[in-house]
Amino acid sequence: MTTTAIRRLEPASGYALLFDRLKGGLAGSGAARASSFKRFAELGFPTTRTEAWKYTNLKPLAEVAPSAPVPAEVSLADLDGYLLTGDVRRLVFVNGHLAPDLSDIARLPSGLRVKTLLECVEAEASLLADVDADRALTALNAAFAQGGAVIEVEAGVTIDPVIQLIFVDAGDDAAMLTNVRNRVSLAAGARLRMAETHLVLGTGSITNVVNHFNVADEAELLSDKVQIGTKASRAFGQSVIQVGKNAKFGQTTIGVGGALVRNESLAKLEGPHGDLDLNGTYVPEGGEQVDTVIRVEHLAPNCESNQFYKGVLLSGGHGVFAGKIFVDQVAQKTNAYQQNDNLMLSRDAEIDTKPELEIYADDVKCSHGATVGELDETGLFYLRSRGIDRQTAEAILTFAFAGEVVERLHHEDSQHQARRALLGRLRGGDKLMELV
Amino acid sequence: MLKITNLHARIEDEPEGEILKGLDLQVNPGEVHAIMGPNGSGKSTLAYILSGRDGYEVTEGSVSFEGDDLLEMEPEERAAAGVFLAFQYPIEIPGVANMYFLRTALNAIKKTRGEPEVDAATFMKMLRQHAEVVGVRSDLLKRDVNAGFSGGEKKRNEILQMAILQPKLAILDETDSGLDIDALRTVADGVNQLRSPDRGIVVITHYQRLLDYIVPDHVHVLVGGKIVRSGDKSLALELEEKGYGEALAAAGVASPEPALNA
Ligand SMILES: Nc1ncnc2c1ncn2[C@@H]1O[C@H](COP(=O)(O)OP(=O)(O)OP(=O)(O)O)[C@@H](O)[C@H]1O
Ligand SMILES: [Mg+2]
Repeated sequence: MTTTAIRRLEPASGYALLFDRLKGGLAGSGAARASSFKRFAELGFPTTRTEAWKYTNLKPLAEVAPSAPVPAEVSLADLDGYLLTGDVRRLVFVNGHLAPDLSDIARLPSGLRVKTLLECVEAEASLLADVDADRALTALNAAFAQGGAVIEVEAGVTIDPVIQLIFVDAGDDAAMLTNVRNRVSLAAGARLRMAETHLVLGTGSITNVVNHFNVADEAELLSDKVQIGTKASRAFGQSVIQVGKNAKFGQTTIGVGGALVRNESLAKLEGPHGDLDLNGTYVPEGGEQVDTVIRVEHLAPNCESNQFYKGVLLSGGHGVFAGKIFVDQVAQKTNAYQQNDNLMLSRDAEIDTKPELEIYADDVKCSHGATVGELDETGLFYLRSRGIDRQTAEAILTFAFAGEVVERLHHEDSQHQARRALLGRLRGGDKLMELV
Repeated sequence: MLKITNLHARIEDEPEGEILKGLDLQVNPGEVHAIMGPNGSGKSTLAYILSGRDGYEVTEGSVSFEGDDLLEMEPEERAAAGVFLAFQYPIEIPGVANMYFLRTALNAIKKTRGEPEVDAATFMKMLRQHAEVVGVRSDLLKRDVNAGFSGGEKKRNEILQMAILQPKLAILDETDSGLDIDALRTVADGVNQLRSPDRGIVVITHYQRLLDYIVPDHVHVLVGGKIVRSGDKSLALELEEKGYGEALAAAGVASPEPALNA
């Protein structure tokens, strides 16, 4: 066996079969699609010998015979509890395809364009090729993606309505593979708030999302991300984030459920005084694994970045946090912070947390920290001494622990969703539901 | 209502040192007891053991509360049965709003007792009233439990909890320490309001002054893990004047600082 053979997992023949079956119906350049698929096949899936995948075994994914997304009946009622209220425009994708009946992008304010990938990909061939093609899952996405949104905000425009993108996977086939590609571009001085909602309503599915956020000089993009999975669902996401001069990008991710959930972010601070804020919380329980993999690149001086992640590890749950801060030689006066705190609620939970710094400038303030702890016994006793039973007291303290991340979601409804999902997961959490 | 008989206890991890060494105390309904005693004599240990904190091992003796074996009960069961401890060092709970905590506690106790829960509006009204009486500012109700509260604010917050939960047996562990003169009165008023023929109150204090406001029926001196003297309120005055020297001698413990008049 050669070294390369160890470092790549051969995708099962089902991937090629699926591509052959679907390629005739894929939008955009057939040649580009074929070349992306070829790239994917060459790369193969990464093995646990690849540093970034050390704790994540993709063998089951490589061996699966993926199936094509099928149409599914989803109604607004199925989305109950996940629709943002107030001034909102939304696009809903079911199994990777736009669901016009559930979407509402009428009355878009001027300066905002919201289109689907399908509408844009014919005209703009490079749309699927604009991010890292050396990542197998990204190449796979470029080969198959039909769903997703292309959002553009014109220079200097502040958009009032919140854009919600909802991705629903529905069905009873856990091998169904949906690929979604989104691109959000804010021109100089533009402002937008958005929410990404990923819901698995059926048994499960394999979701492969690639997002490209481009925030030009002086622009600001805030994004809430809520991911709800099932015991069998697998979700892979890569976000490539570019932040310009004096620009800001903020994202808070709350994930509950999923056999394997992996969120990768590659954020580049490309102009001076850029500001990046990445927050998240994960709550894996029996048999679930959640990976958070972040690389923040400071490529210009005077930028600030913050990573704030909190994990609650329930019995049998596995969390992985790998966050890297890279500071280029030119990026003087960088402020870069990273904190990953984990609460182990069970002895048979696992957390692998690895903060990393790579700094080539000399005038920088960087800090990173990772903690792994248990619930504070003194606090528990205090609550119990006031009549609150142990289970509820544990739920209260755990909820408070994750709450610090939840409150960073910009939309009140997102906070609501996140709190409900978290409480739904904690033993004794049902008694606290009136909290949310 | 509370009967402590020959209580011996030690810290679980430290099998050597016994902290309570044969303590007897009986509190009847309607009575206010004061416990005084030198630092490290075991007063807080007694309070924690009564409220059910982990980490202590009772090696001998018994504690009954209204006929039940208190030591067999979980902390939350004791709270529902009506035991309340105002902590010497109240705990900070970041992320949990004070008023939410209090309402959860009250309703948990009510539920255990089979009483109807209190709805949000009724609770808020009741909370505001009590908070005003014990001098807890309304912004402290919204803040996280004790987080960033001053020493005195924490103590007032304990009294507020007591006022809301209306315990049958209240144990106040040095609630007067660190309070300004007005706060001392406020706290004392809070305790006096609770005084009733069916409630018992145990006040742990170092200072006679609190006992001017909360006049005790009985005063005990706890030294070296035992009650070595008991008397009426005049005992507190005597201790204030003479120090613990005599009491220490009686317990067979050497006084660290011989009292002047001893
Ligand atoms: N967790 C512990 N581990 C070790 N020793 C302890 C622990 N808790 C209490 N002790 C010891 O037990 C003794 C009694 O402590 P306790 O806190 O009950 O005293 P106290 O009478 O309340 O004193 P003070 O007046 O200073 O509050 C002290 O010597 C103390 O050091
Ligand atoms: Mg003490």
